Amino acid sequence: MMRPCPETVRVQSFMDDDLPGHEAEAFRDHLAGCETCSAELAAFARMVAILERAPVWDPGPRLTEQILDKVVPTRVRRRFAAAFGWAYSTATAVTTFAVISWLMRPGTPRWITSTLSELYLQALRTSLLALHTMVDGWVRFGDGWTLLGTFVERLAPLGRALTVSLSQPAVALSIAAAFVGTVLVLWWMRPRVGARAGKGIPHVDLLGF
Amino acid sequence: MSSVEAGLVRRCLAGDEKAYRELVEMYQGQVFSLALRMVRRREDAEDATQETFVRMFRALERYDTNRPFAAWLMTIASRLCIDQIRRRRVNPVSLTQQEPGSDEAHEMDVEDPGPGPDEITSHSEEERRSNELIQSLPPHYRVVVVLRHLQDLSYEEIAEALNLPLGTVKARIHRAREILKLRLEERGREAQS
Repeated sequence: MMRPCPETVRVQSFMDDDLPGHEAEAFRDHLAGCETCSAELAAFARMVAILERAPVWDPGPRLTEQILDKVVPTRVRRRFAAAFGWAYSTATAVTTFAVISWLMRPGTPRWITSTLSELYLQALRTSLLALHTMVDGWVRFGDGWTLLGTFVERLAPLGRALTVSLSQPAVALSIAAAFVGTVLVLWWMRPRVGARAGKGIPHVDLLGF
Repeated sequence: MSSVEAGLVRRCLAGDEKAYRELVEMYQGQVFSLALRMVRRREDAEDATQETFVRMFRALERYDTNRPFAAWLMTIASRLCIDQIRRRRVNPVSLTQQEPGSDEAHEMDVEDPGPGPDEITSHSEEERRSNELIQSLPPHYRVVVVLRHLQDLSYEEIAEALNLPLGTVKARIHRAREILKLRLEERGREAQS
């Protein structure tokens, strides 16, 4: 049975080269004469040697490919393009189905005909109004403010005509959807300065395909 | 950072796909081994490995080339593993307890008793012994031992990786080695008797 030594607590610091130079030197001298501390150091060294024999496991090529799919820019773009393609195809299929179903309904052709006639009439009236306003404005050109007043007065029916068109739910919804879609696409395609330097996988933009 | 790693990092930043593969193949074993020792389940270790590389590549432009690359990568990996262990805790109550013989109070990690790396991988008797030793430690000791002795990180790097004071890291490593040494001695005695 070895005698306990108060210096044993310093064995690990010595092992880690964590003792200041002179203390390390003194401890080295101490080790030469202390069986307890030498045995402690040997035990730690043995334990560390066992730890360091722990294997490094290879996760295999499947994981390598999975990682590369997520980090290599062209693979990310390809993945993104595939997802976009699927989403686009699905949306197109659903929309086509919805439109065809709607067209097949009995009242639809009549509704389309009447709406188109109405729209044609509105467009014709609006064109005539615009033409009339231009001619009238030109005639009154010399009359300063009158021109502006006339312009506004002449424009009022155009505004009313637009209001009538927009009051049709189908027209209003289509315009709103187109507007929102355009804004979203433009926002998504915005130049992202510093995207690589900041967070995020290198910028993937539509034009890059 | 070695010139090989520096070259690979530069090529990755320039968009060279071969460099991505080389960098992944060079380090995926180390990252996966660290993750498997920490989270114990193969699927979780694979997830952590993937996420480590994704984060590493995202942050590559901000990487300080004066730091050792492996240490930086292991920092990301160990943080992810710790997050995963925390998320997986069975008991949401935070338990503070003190290891016998230690001055340091710590939070207990309640782990999923899933199969450890021993049951997942095949290896020699020596490797099995080494794994058993590492796995016998509680997670907060295991992580420091793995980072210090298997990944060769310095105390300072471990402190930074785990966001712990340097003194705490030293205390944990000393305590963990003490536990491991005692276990080895116990096993030696059992083998003799």
